[in-house]
Amino acid sequence: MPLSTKQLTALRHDLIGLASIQYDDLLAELVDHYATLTEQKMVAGQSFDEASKWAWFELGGGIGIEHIQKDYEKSILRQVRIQHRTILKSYFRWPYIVSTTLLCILLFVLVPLFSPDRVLTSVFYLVLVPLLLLVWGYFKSIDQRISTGKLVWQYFQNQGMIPINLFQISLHLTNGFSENGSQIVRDFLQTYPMLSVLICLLTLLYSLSFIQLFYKKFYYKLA
Amino acid sequence: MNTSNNSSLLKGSLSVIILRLLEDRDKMYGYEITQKVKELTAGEMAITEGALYPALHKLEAEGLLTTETQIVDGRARKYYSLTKTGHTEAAGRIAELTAFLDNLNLVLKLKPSL
Repeated sequence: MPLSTKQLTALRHDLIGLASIQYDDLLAELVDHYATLTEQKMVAGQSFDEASKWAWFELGGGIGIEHIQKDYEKSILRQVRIQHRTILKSYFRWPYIVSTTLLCILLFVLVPLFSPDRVLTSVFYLVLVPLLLLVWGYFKSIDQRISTGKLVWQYFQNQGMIPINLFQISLHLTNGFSENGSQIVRDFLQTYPMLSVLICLLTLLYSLSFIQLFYKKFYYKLA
Repeated sequence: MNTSNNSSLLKGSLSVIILRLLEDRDKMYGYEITQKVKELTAGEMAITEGALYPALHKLEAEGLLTTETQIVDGRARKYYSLTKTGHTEAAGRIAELTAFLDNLNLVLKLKPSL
């Protein structure tokens, strides 16, 4: 006999409360297993309370289930890493390389036509906009983060912040050596506009890969 | 069979067991896999949930398994099935394990006098 909605909710609460299961996908899978085990015990004549206790024990108890969750996190993060690598590799196909090179040539011709201040402002906004988009996405999806999306953000925090921090450090590093450090960086970027453009393109590319990664959510496929 | 020995022996071959079971069936869910192993081995071999789900998730991450969810008795049930790569990989891993077991058997059957 299938369990009632109330009984299923009780099992769900056990998994959340006693084993701290926080991912929807894993929770659904474990609820099904826990419920099937409970149903089997109930067929043998046990009450729901008694049957669910035995089922909980067979599932491995709190520690056993927490171990499943830790392993699940590792597995999803591995999938995210592989997926991110695939996205980044996809940018290095011949059509993309050719079109990026052509774009660079176009920028090389156009950049000297603008004033250094305008180039610097453009660099600033081009780097800032994708980052702002990511931050917007982070806050927009804050309610949905009790799923694998949460792990994608964790990956983003670990990996995505590295180049951003390096960029920040490189911009401010000169402050440590000179009172006029930020001016040196500014002059450098103005003198070498191609470097500014390259930084922009790389930041855009890296941010885009994360935006793409975030939309590749690791959802269940409903049959 | 001693449970702790059983589980340590199972550890290395669990992924092959899962791939072999899914080779014959269109799709299976976690509980079904544990029961099928119990049934095939007349209760001698028991897969714990703590070992089964990490193994399933690992195979899924490797791209050997694909999943789909159906609503059964008011709850979501996740079914696993082999991908194309999974089918190829299953055949290879099964052949590898069979060869290993054959060799192991030869060693175990060796008489002390030989």
